[in-house]
Amino acid sequence: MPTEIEDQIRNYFAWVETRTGHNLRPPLANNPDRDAPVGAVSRLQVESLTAVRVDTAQTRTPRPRAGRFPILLAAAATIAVVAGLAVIGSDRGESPTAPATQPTDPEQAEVAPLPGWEGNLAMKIYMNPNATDTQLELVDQTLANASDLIAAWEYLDADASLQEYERILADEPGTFELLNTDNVLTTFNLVANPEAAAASLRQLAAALKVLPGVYDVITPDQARRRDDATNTVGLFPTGDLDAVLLAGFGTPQSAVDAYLADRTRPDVLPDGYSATYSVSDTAERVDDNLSLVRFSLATENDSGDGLLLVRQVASVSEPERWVVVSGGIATFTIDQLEYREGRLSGSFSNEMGGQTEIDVYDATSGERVGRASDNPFVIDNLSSPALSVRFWNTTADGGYPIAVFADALVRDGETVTDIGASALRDTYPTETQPQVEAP
Amino acid sequence: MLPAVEPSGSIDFEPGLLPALEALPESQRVCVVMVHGYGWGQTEIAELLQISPSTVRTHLSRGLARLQKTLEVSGHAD
Repeated sequence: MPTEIEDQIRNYFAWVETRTGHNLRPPLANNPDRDAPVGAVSRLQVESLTAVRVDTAQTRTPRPRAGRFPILLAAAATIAVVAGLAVIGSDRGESPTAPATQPTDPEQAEVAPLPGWEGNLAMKIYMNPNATDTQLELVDQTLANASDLIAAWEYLDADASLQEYERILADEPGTFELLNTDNVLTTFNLVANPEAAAASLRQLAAALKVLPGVYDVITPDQARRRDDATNTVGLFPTGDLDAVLLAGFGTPQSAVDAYLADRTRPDVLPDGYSATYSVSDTAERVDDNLSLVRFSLATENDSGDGLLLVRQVASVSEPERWVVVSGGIATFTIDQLEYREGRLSGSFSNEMGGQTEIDVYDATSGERVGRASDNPFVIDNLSSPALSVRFWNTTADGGYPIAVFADALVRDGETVTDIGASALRDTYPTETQPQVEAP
Repeated sequence: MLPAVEPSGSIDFEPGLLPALEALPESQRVCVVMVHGYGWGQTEIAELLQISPSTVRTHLSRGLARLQKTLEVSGHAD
């Protein structure tokens, strides 16, 4: 006798098939369609990415049919479950038959694609750096089975993905340097059939997202929202760094690590100054999407402890991605920053004395747009919508290079006060007194 | 996050069924879905998955037991 659960499962799949009008049942093993070669569906040549194109059929050794079929079944079962969920979700307010290419917002139709999204891409599948050949093949075959939705696709392996990121991050070489063939997410770039319904594409994305080896599946709209979030809420990274976020900043500590690696690059440090850093193994959660991370900065003769406030830029239901918001060494306080009508003014307190250099960067492009050294200071003729203001106190009263810095973001029209590490100390219960060693 | 299930009165399955199915280990999920969702035979699945029929039965048994337990817990939580 079937149990209640068995009945429920049967009812559910019958209901899904009724609702979708499609037979979701995987084909039998002797179905001749199974003999189609991997990647047999035509792939669109997108001019802008031709240089980094890698065809999966050319880069992976074909596997025997018998070895592939079990994973196809697994995919089919997974897809059936998730497709059902998406079907149910599609009941909520929008037409499931709306074409994928129909813009939902007239303004969006005029928006230029983000770097990396040229060629009318409908979706990107980010694969884990350690995804196996079998996992890649499973995605490839799943796409082949969805040829009614996907007109063409390409796979960028680690080398090709690095080339692509080098192009996307051409203006941010420091960030690109964080990537390598061991940590980069490889990518499937998908072009949808013009007739494919948007709801069907969402079902496919949901189904792909749970396949083994898949890190994330995102659409252009999602990429743009993440890009906007990155540009507006964090000091680091800047610009369109979604790929880097996906690759490396899955934890507050990894965001801090990447941030400090960027901030201690020789080409952005004051002349003649060098510094190394270390990051705490733990992060103190201070809010649903905010954490504090301790770090230490060291020069040849000095070391200092500090705090960085790190914010999660994705919703909690997506893979975590973190960016640094503000912070610095505990002996330095940014008292105030004001940015209005092209003028940035500010003041600070530095317990260590000595000379402070203030470097001002466009928060989106990462380009340095101003410099000062007075306290208080004023910089005019700025036009960036948001500024990253970095303070380096490179020389204490004793004259030796010391490890003191702070960093804060200020947007046009804003006045921000009491920022930097000193403002964070009260919210970090285990924070100890600053430890600065004399030479 | 996948959309929550809100079945109407004419649909006879628990709202927690699909998340519970998703949470199953892949081998269990495949066997449960193929047998009870699509009506495939255990022997046929065993041949296709290149595992023994007894392994299919084990996956099925454990998968269903886990579903049962998950839905019971979910029901109590509600």
